[in-house]
Amino acid sequence: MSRSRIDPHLKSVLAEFSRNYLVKRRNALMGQNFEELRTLLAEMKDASLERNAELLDRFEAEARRRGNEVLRARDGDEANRLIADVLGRNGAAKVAKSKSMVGEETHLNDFLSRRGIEPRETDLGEWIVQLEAEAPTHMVMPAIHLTRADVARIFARRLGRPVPEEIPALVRIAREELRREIFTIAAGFIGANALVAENGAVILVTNEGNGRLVSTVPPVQVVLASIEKVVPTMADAALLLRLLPRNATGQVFTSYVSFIAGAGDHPRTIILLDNHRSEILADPVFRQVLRCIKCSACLNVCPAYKVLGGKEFAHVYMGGIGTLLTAWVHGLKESKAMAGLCLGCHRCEDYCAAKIKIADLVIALRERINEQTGSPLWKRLAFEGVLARPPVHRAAFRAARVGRPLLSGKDGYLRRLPFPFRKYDRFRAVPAPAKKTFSKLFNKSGLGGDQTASRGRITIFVGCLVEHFYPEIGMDAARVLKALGYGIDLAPAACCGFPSANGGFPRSARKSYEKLMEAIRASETVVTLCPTCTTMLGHAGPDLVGDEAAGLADKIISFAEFMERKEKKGLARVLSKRPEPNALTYHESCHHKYYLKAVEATRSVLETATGFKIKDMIETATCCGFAGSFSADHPEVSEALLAEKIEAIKETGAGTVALDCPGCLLQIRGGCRRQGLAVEVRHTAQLLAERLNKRNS
Amino acid sequence: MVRGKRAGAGLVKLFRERAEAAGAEVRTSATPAAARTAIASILEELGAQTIASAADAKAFVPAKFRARLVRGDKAEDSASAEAGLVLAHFGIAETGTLVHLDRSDAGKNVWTLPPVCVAVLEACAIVGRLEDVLPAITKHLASPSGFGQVSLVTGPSRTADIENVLSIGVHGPGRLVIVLIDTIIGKKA
Ligand code: SF4
Repeated sequence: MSRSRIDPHLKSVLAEFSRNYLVKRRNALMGQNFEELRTLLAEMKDASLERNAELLDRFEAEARRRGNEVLRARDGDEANRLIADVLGRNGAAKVAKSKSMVGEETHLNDFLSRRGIEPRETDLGEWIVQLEAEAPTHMVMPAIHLTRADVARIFARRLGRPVPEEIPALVRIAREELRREIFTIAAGFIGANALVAENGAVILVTNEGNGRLVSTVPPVQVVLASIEKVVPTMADAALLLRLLPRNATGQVFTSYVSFIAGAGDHPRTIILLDNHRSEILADPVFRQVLRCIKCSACLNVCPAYKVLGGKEFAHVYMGGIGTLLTAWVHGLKESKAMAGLCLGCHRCEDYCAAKIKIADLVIALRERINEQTGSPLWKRLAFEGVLARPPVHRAAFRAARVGRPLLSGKDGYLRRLPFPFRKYDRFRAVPAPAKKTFSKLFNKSGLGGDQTASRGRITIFVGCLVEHFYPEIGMDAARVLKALGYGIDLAPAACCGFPSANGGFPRSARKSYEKLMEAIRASETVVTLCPTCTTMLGHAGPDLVGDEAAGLADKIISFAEFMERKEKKGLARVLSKRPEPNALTYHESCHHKYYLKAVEATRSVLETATGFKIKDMIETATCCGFAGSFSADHPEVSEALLAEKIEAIKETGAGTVALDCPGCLLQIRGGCRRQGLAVEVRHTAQLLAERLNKRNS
Repeated sequence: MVRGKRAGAGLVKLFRERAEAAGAEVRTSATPAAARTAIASILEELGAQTIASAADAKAFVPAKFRARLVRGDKAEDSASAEAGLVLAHFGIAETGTLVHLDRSDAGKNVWTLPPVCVAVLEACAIVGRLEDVLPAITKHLASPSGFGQVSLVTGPSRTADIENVLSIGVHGPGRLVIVLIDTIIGKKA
């Protein structure tokens, strides 16, 4: 790719937007039980989807009873045609539009223009992007990628006179221009935030008031809504309204919410669009995508969106949920590039108003994409040929170790990569494989020999990165466990299957997973050092192979959680409390936080060990940009996220960064090294082992 | 006007706080007559030459502004008025929201088109949450012969579409002044 996909200005705007959003959202949700509300919303939407056809019929009947015309459209083209027909029938040469993502989905503006009908966007952001002949880059903030200077330039071109680069003046122009036109426009077009079956009401939510103008002033009225918008009752709509503004913009309520049931003084045509949603409805895995209420919270917290914006990480819909919708409404092919941009950090799932498992579904989508549109040969080789075959996997690393003196400098890092590959390592030094694997070191150390351990036996599974790159982390973990009185068994050094599962290769994932599980089935407790492996062994793997393995999940536990749950007292006995010399900050690794929900365990363990409070960095729970093969697929995004992470670390002034994931460790340590930053980056197990008191170390 | 159970002082206070947080101004009057006086002084402060009024708020038009009333039933007239005078049927304390059971597009326009919206609300019509007024809203929407629309208005019109900076008064009014008729305060005074 020649041109950089990252616009530095946009990146900083989005970063600030995201930070402000989080503060506003927290305030707006004060006194609300978000978890409970979104569970109710998810259940309500599921129940509504279950009876979607019946609710649509009811909606249609009720809306008709109140004087509205209701039409159904199978796909985007049909919807566009129906809209153009209504406008044509009424002699409307121009239509005033309120924001509608569904209208974007059907490319309504292009269609109308081709039919000689001028679409006039009225939402400020939509109007700006329309004048610039662009597409919205955010579902709630369409023009977030443009500056006030851009807007001034765009308006000046439209008005044929200079325009000041001041936001109040620009907003005034938008008002005056719409006021000048609105009374002469024959038709108004709105989308819908929800449809109410019991009374045929269309619910319209806007802050600017443009929706109200558009839906009252022009004499001809058209509504376009997708079929999943229908909910049974007003009480259900009220639940949706309790969450939507709070989660969308951090407002307690939106300025204007209109319930439009009666046609009022104007004829109104409501078009219900399917556009492959019936297929999503019939798909048991993906059906939950249709719970979405388009609040955009998932975009606002998405690290990849924050770096790339909604031009790069979009087709029409943006981000993770956009990827899923795109796969159906615009086609699997269109969703392919987007599916690759999901980091799989699962952060969005914590914020989703409808409890959609967005990241999990993107992984499931990758599988379909690979099946139906093919996958790159190198990936198939890597996942099916190497990772799923432990002997091949081991041989590959053996070869790398043999080549080590050629590849790496004395410092244990690979030499700088030559030109075409520079983008992969310019931002992050890449470690060479360790001289000896963890298994080898461990077996030689005698740490495993104790058959009379007072606390019984425990199995340790370290994962590929520790096995081949950071054996010292495994050794430290083993020393702590031994000091606590455990006899230690090693799980085989094999891939857990996550990389394959994540890449959309479930067959090889299943193979790796089952082989590994077979080997550790007899163990009572398996302690892990990598949150991603833990996610695979305890959650994603059991899902992949079906329920019979689910029982195993309980025995798989991350090192930090094990210490927090079982050994708080033991740690007090074997450790000598000691602070880090220059304060300690903590990076919350994505799977550890969003999947395992284990960061509090780490915090508590670390604070016990050091006797000090962790000095928090901003956005500690934002991805560092490693995300496994992501950093090879999208080095520029990886680089940008790492740069932000390192900035945040620097700001704390801390001398040590603790974390729980060897992948984050590779990324952050390598990045600090490239920047010449004297910061220690340590796994939780290392920070504990360093504090083992003499008797135990 | 719809009358509910008298709202407790706590609800009135919460309504006020939330409405102000959403950018509305709240002025309290003890009686309908005092409200008319308050409205007159608001309109005078504005130097309003013409005002629009929805049918249900006619009783609150101050005497000296009766002659300056434009007919609200044409959208252009509402748009040319310097202020719109409306009556809210309910207030929702939790969000500082005004509820209006719409009867015509013209009535809706008085809320939206003039640069200033002056809304009268009786304290006894304040409820805690949206869910508490749902029966009234649902009833209004239910009748197939009625106008069948309801508006919830919270603060003035706003946008953050340029650089995520908040601006007030983009397509709707830049000011929302709520004249709250609070008879409890009236008794105390
Ligand atoms: S997926 Fe969830 S968070 Fe994202 S827009 Fe939809 S409801 Fe909101």
